[in-house]
Amino acid sequence: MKLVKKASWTGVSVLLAASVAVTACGNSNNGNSAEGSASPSAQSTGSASSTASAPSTASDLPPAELTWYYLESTQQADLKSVEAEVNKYIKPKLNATVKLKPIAGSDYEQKMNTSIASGEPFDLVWTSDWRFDFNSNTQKGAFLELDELLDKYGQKLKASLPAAAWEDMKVNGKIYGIPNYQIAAKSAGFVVQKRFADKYHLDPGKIKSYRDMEPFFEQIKQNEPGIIPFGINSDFFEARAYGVDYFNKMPHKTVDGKVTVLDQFTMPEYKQHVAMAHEWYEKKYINQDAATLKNKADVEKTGVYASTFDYTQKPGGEAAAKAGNGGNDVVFVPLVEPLFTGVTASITAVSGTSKNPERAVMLAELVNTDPTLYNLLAFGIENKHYTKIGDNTIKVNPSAGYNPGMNWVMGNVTIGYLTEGQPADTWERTKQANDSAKKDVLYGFKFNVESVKAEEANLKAVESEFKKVLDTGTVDPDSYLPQYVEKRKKAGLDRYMAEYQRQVDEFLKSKGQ
Amino acid sequence: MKSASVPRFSKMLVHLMFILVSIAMIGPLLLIVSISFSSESDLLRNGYSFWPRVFSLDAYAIVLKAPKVIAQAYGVTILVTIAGTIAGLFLTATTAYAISRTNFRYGRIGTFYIFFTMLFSGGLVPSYILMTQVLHLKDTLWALILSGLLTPFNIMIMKGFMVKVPGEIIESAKVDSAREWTIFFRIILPLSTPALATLGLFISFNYWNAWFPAMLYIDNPDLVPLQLMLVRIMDSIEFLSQNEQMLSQMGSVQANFPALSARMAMVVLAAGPMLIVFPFFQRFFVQGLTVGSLKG
Amino acid sequence: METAISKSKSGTKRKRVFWPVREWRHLKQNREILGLFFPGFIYILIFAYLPMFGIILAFKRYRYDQGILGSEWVGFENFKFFFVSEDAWRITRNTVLYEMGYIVLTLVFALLFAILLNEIGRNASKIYQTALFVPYFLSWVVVSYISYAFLDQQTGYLNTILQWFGMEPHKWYLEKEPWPVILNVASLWKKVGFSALVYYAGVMGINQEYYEAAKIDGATRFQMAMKITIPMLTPLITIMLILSVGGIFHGDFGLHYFIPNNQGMTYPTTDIIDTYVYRALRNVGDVGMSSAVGLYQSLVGMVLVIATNAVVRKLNKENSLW
Repeated sequence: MKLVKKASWTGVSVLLAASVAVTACGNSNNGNSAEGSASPSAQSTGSASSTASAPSTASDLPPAELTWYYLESTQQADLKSVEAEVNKYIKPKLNATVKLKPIAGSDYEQKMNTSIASGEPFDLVWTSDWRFDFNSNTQKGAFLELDELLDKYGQKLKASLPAAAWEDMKVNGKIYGIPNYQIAAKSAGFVVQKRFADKYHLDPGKIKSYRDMEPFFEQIKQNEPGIIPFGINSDFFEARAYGVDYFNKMPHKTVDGKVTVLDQFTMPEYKQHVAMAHEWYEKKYINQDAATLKNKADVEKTGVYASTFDYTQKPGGEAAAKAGNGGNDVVFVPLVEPLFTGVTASITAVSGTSKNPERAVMLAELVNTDPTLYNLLAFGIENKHYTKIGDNTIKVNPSAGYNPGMNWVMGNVTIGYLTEGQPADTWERTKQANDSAKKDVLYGFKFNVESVKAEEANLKAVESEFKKVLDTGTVDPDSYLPQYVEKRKKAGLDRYMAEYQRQVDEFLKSKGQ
Repeated sequence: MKSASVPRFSKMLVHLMFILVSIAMIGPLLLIVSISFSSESDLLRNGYSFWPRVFSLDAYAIVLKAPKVIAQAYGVTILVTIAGTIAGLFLTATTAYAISRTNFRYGRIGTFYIFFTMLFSGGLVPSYILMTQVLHLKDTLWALILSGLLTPFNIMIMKGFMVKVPGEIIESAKVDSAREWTIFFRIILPLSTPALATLGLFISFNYWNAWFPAMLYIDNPDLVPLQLMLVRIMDSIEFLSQNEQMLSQMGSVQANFPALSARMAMVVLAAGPMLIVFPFFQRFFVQGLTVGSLKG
Repeated sequence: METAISKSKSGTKRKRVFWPVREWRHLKQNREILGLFFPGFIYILIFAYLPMFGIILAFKRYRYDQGILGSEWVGFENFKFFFVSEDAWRITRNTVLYEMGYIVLTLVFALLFAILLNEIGRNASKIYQTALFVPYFLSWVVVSYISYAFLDQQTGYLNTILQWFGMEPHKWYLEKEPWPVILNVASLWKKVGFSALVYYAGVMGINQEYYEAAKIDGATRFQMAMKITIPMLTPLITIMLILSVGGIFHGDFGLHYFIPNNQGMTYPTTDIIDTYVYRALRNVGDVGMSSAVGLYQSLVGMVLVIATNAVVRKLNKENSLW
């Protein structure tokens, strides 16, 4: 009934209200809109004359329909009931509804690139540094600048995350995204099946370098027929394990306060690494099909890999690794100290074509600060799509039609539930790990590729010709690494590196001021 | 008839060749069917085989877990295929006929007008703008039907068949003061049955196999055609393995994606119906040919 | 129809009719044919010609917030990456050679199958036709699973067979030599059924009287195929050829990306323009640069097609496409 009344009121004075309400929101400086609208009394329609000073509540805003594109792994049959529930929840708070448009991971980049390039109107969109690139799309003007919008409509959201997180959302000094906060302190290392670690007395604390794993691999190879000591299908090079700083895929060193970026493939450390990889490959420590394997996960499920490599080693991550490993327990063997790698791995941005950017930010704030809404989006409806088995832990019902398994796409994971098997203190440890991890000197730097686009494209194209076979040790680096380096030179490496260095210098200078 | 005069031995040779070729053509499909009926754990341990070592229906149980979704996808595909084929075949025939008439001076420029679009396209972005923001056809079946309605390739092939219709037939009809429409429907179409059957087959297969327009224009899960479901299942594997490190560090999926046998079961479900339909189509196709060759 | 043409010709001689008037008369005379052409004309205008304004993207630095028209013109900058690339020659060569190989192989085998299908009984021929068409239903992604089953270095059938004959197993995905054969076989396998069906329909349309007459003259079946069937199919063959020549610069992405499994070591013999561009722009995601390559491919295709058509027209006016 209330809704109907409100709708008709809006209908009558729509001409007046539309203009006034928008300016009203623009002027009022309310940081507590979420609380305000949460209380039922906020239903009062409010008089148009008193808007300038009064906190603008959701019902003052004209109704809006938002569209939200985000990544999904597989199609969720029961999305509709979740969407209905979400809208029931947010309508009184924001006077807005949202159309959830999850896009399959395989289509995401193509579909969003096309949609954005054609100027299609929508409001919220998921982006990242590894799929549908945040940085380059921002540079091309795809997203809305958020500094002002956050100050007006997202103060609570802004306060909910550490300042360092927002710093990483800046491109050319302005904020363009809302991080979906999660583990950002990462340390690369081995993931070893516990049964083998115990049997051969592998002490994770004693593994300081790649070579330290060799005795373990040798024992596995000698004593465990049918088991492959080290299963990979891509690189396992962590420059920091060789004492070289590494950030955003760019190695660099600091001498007397001067930061110099380096090309990974001409570094002696890389040569040393791939030579070792080749040695391991020849000794059959590494699976022989490492470079050609079509789908590693299929094989990993059978538990034939005694160890694999992982670049995160996040708190509580053993549970997920166990599931992927055919149910065998695993232990993490980190090679380096955790580093705060930033929050660009999962971002929600406001589209430049959004017709209701203020409401989009308000929705994003609600999702990232209201556990009820967040959990609804991430896990579905209680007792239907999941059941609670602990204070904050749930058991997913895999056959109920909503099990996206992508909580990190929706918002701040640390306000949500834990799934079965994750330790109860996972989020505490996540936050603490993030806060205590070191930050690289280049933290927050965003490269603008525009002036070296041609070089970037050609470097990318030659990369897959040699990188994988070198990284997996499949070929002898003595004959192939020089070829690769030569090809990169011809693709314009020097110009690319010079431009990178120039931008790094500029960035550090502006940061110093 | 004709075949009676072929020497027995060389006929045997021809059959032998076709049998070998057929085996090569069908073999891979049999392998896929076999995988779809195999138990997943056996596949991972022992690899593929042409006969399931450990028979299992699990894959189909997984794929058909939500029968409503699959049924809907079949419905969309069938509807789009039928509507698109009828409309597309008709348009292909009229257009090709017009440019095949040698006394129509604009036939040549018309041919180039059509052929040019085979070489040049504006690309994805302008087509997307046209479909979604000018015609407002996003999330409708119209987007799927319209985006494959008329292909220059098919028009050209059709033209190739139609130029062979003797001009005298058309002239004599014209002397009887028949109108072009009448000539087209009464003479040209019946004479072109072999071509119509062939192109009808091609158009319908194109619609059946099309997934890209749906990927672009369809957000509503109820309107997703079968092939897009299949492509998504296949691509999601590509996607997951390409970004495996990324996804695993976020704690996602891994155990969540469709098994090999399930992927192949989906292939069977997507290709199967058309393979069964093919012989029916073919009967019509061959009959059409007989009529065509008799009159021609 | 001859009369219509000669009439208009003599008309121009007698009295110089202003050309728009003349064209208008011709169009008016053929208004019913125009009526038949019209729906197709409109469809192509809307769905093919309207979007062509997007070609200007190839010459722009496209910024989403400035729109297509508002973005800055950059001349040929978007073309640069392709032409400065060290691999430009390699991928162009691969694209053209492979496409030519596919065209010739498909043509020869499709014609052979079409003629032979006509020589045997209807029922058997139906079964073979169906078999030939099966690969058409399997996308390259699906086929890549099959080829992987054959080519996998450890458990692949091909290596098993080789070892059975006492030969050395190969690491197929890490070698460049075998790929020209593998890709040609795969392409033929997938495409031959389609073309064979077109030619078969063409063979069926040939007037039986020709064969009857030839039989009376004592022609062998081989002679009939060479002297009647192939000449009668020439218009169709020419059209198919011209159509595929236009596509020589557009490689088969699915075949060259999925079947070699995107393995770097095979690039020297598998990499084509389309796969290269895909890899180069996957991360950059630049609309302008991909439009530029597309435009370049189209232009070369057009030059080739116009040349082919001109040659065909010289040889036999009736067989040319326009």
